[in-house]
Amino acid sequence: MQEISTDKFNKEEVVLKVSKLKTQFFVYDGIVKAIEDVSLTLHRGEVLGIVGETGCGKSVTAYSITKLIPDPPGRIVSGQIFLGNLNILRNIDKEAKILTDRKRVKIKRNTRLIKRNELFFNQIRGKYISMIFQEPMAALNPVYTIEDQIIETLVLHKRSYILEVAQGAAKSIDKLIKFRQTMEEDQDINPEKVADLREYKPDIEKDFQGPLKEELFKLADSNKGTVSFLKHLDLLIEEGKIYNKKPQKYDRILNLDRQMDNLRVELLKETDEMKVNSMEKKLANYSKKINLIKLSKQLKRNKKDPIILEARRESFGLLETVNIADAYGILKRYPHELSGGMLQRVVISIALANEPEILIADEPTTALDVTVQAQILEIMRQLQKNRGTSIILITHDLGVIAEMCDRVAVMYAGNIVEVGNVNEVFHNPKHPYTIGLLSSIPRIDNPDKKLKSIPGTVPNLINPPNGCRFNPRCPMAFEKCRIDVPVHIEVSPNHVVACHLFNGTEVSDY
Amino acid sequence: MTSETKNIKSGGALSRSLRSRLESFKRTLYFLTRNPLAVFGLSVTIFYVLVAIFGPFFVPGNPNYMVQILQYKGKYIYNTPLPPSARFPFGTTFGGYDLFNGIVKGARTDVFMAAIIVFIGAIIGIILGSIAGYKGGIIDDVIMRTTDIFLSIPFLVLAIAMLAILGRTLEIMIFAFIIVWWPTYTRIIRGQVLTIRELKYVEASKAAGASSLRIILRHVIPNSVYPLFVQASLDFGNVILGFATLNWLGFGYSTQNLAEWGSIMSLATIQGTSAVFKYSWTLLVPGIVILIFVLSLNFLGDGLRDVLDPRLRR
Amino acid sequence: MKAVGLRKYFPIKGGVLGTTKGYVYAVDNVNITIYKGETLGLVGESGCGKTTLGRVLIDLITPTSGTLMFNGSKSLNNLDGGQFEEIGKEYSEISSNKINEIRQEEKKIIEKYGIKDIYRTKGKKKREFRKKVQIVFQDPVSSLDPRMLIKDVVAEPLYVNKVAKGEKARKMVLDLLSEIGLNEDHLYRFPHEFSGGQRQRIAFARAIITRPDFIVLDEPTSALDVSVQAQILNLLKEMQKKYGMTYLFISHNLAVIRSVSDRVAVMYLGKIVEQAATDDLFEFPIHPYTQALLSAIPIPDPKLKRNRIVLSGDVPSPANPPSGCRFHTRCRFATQLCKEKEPELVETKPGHLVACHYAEDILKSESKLHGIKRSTMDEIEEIEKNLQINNEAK
Repeated sequence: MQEISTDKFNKEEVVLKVSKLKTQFFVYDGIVKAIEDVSLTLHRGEVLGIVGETGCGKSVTAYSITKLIPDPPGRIVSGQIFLGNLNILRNIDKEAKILTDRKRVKIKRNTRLIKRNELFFNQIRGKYISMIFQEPMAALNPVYTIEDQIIETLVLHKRSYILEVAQGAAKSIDKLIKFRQTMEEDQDINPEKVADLREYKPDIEKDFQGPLKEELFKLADSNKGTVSFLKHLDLLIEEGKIYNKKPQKYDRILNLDRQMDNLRVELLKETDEMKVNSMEKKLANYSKKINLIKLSKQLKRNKKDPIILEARRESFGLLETVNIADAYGILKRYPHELSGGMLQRVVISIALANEPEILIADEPTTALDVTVQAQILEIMRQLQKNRGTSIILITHDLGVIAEMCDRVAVMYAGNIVEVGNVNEVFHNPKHPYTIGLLSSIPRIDNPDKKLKSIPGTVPNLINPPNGCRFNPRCPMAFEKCRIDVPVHIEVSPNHVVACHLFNGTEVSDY
Repeated sequence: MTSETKNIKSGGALSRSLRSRLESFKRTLYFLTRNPLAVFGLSVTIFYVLVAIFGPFFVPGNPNYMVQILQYKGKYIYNTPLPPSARFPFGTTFGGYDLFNGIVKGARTDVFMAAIIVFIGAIIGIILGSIAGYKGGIIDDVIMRTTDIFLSIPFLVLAIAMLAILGRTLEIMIFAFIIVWWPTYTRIIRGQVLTIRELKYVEASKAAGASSLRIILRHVIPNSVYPLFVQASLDFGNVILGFATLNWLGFGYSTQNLAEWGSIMSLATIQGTSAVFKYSWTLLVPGIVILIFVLSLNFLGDGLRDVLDPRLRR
Repeated sequence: MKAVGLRKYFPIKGGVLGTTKGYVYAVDNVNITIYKGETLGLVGESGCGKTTLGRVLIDLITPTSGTLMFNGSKSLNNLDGGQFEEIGKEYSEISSNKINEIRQEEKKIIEKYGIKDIYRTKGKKKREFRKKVQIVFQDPVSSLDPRMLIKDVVAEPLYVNKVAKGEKARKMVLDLLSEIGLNEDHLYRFPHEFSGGQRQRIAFARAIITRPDFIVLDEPTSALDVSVQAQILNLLKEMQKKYGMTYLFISHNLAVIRSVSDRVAVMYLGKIVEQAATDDLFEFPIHPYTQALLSAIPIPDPKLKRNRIVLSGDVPSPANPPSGCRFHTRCRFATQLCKEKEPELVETKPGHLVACHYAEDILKSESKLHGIKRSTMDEIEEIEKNLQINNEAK
């Protein structure tokens, strides 16, 4: 796994494109039109903030992108979400028919299709899109150790890499044993070499290749001392031995995983409808075969499986990337023994374990103290810089947005009302809601500012106002606002607003 | 923000308060009707209760005692049950009792007694449970240990013992059941109270200066009775089963002719168990009647639990 | 209001017999004075004890030890606190015997000077006190009884304190509700039909219906949206002016504290570490914890990127506080002295109290980076360049 600096990837590349997303919830009182006509574009390495108040639809947007909307009562009604060339909402309209002709809405579901889409999407979500939530305590299972939970995600999504390391260990097992011997001897004979482990890199280069070499490089670079390195080597040797006992079995699993990985990559590029269908089917079947229950049983029995051993070994390094001291101790603990800040760091490390392209963070620091929040945001920013992950950061805290984001989208009552470069939006806000929001926050650096509040309350989304949903509270509202829904207009480069106060051409890419 | 009470604009203070509460109740009812099993349970239960209240007025004989037919079409039928027919819709059983007659009257006995037992048990449970939960400390310990003692006594044994010592009447039976049943309710209420007393509105009341009694009566109890409804509806069925068991075993009250489903069932084997195969309806009819009632109560209880679960609200 | 030597220790019971294994030192020897008509802000992170302190000040929780004097009691004006020096001492070892000792000491002093201690009053005088103090909670969801209609919720303090009943009470409730922006229809609704902001208003109405003198506001806007928060804060200010009330405003949100408070006290692990007039605290924070806290807050202006003090580690548990100065485990200036001896709260500048052994030194040195002052991008870059030079030199 290489470290990518921001120069090495194309900042213009679009990793995620959401187009006219519409999600609704069907409840006792009626239909909640949670998000209406939401479009977003996310570029590589960018941090996009979504800001808004309770009920504005920012969480619903995030859950729609990861297809985690509970059904019933919710459904993504229409729209497109593109990951590369793949529209993950391809057959959303075939999944269910919504009949609104009678007094109470009835939904007819095509459960087979829904199930298949779900199985298929399990292969995409987690691998390409990762998500972290507000309550770190609730994100982790209290009856499993931290280690087991990290392993679970590694085994589910990174198995091909893990097996390649194990296979490498199996094939080069003699060289590994020799290497270990050499290192142990060097402790007495050659102490200067041992002082800085990076000295071993040329040796590693000579003897090993592939993912195994990468892992060994990582260990050398992190330079945590010979004791630790030797422990890692022991684990690798053990894995290799077990792998060699049943090489065909593991080779077979590895081949299948490789195929699926390739399939996934192909899928995002493929444009032919028929081929996409068949690929989806294959991935759905593959997803079925992965047996979570078996995995948890294996973990409990501490089974000697090269996959699990390697995953255990890697989970170690993972915690260190998020600045957790005493990683080994933390691994063996249970979630309730850790503080909120610590847990959130673990959650972030799990989310980034599979090197996803996109990380969605839903209010990641709202439940944490301010000093801990500073730590977490620092980690997120570092990781993003180093790996080029794109982040969608959802929060109601404008300070966090100003600190972390490149671009920001302001949402109100299920619509995006303004989106653009973060400097632009903060210093040159156009939409009356954005202006109102910015003037209502108490500023710690400008205490004499009078707090101007926006009169009224957030509208009921079952019966939202006609036309622009903000019109009842807008100080600049006029006749048109009550009739027509405003379209998104580009008012300056990279700055889009949905408001009748502005004229211009409609854009759909923002 | 929903506005379920948006229509309440007129009327005096009291009627408006009542109407608000009625709206709330209607909403709960709607949720209940979403569950077909619960609807089934509710309708059958209502049917049984109606039969229990009004039925005995429509069948011949004393409302509490079964009619005994000694002769039919000239034959002496005392020990020969007759199968169901037009004249005897459920047939007759040993002793010449008309089954239909007996079942209807038995409904009254069973339903009323179960109601009394569950109701009184619940009252005791609420009082003791809320005191134990709210006050905590040594009062809590004393009450809960007493509860534990009672819970560890097998109820059949206790009931039989009491009946044997104090006399085999209906009143003693009811008393025995209440003694066995109140601990469960106490436990439930106490659990709820422990949660509720930590809630902010209780603290706010304390800050306003409300006495403990007021807080318990106005805040704690109304909010903690939900699980009790669920348990009570399930217990209704359990009590009836308990009754039926005691009477079936022959340890129940010794009043002759008193209609009760269990005692009717016990008549089926009065001449030895093999007789059942020949005169199956004598056992099946009361058995199925009990079965359907208890089943419906269980469905109703499950439905209530789903509806009253606070997570599913809003 | 003047409180001296406030302590609240929650016993941790464990083992088979439920013996007391230790204490959670939620509030540890706090002295606090609140002046009529002011808003005192109380800040700190989770576990610092600010919530407990708020509740102790209105006797919602009985303190383990301490004295409280309130409003109009003659003793308030005659005493200068010096008499309490003996009680306000530090004890390094606490056991239940020690607590009893402290209480005995207190009692003696109170009797000696004839102090009217609120904690030790009962009956009618206590009820008088309760009418005059109130509290508003953070969570709008659980602070209103879901089974009660709004009119009953707001009227409850009237019934309980026997101020009014029936129709008269209803009228008082109605009048108050219209002052805060609700109307008659709302009387007959249930709490769940209202939004968070409205519920907080209702909770506030309930608190002020008996015209109290002192209100503890425990994070009243933390669970609310930003625009609603502004409405509520404006309402609070308005009502305070109108009825001449005194507020204790507890929050972890420093921006809000700055905009509402006249004076601010900063708490850490059960102790007040710094206390000053608002502007003074925010522009010239002295205690290292306050400095770190201020620098950790993200400012909603993308052009301002400040130099952050990132504290290492997590907040220690209040059941097991560090020895000496409680902050020494995370403080960037900590020395051996800090580990051994607990600093006292001393007036370092007029009106500005700090509990730190090196307060004077920090005051003298340049703390340009850590106050909340505007720095332009050029200044920032200059600072960053200097830091880089320093790093490379290492």
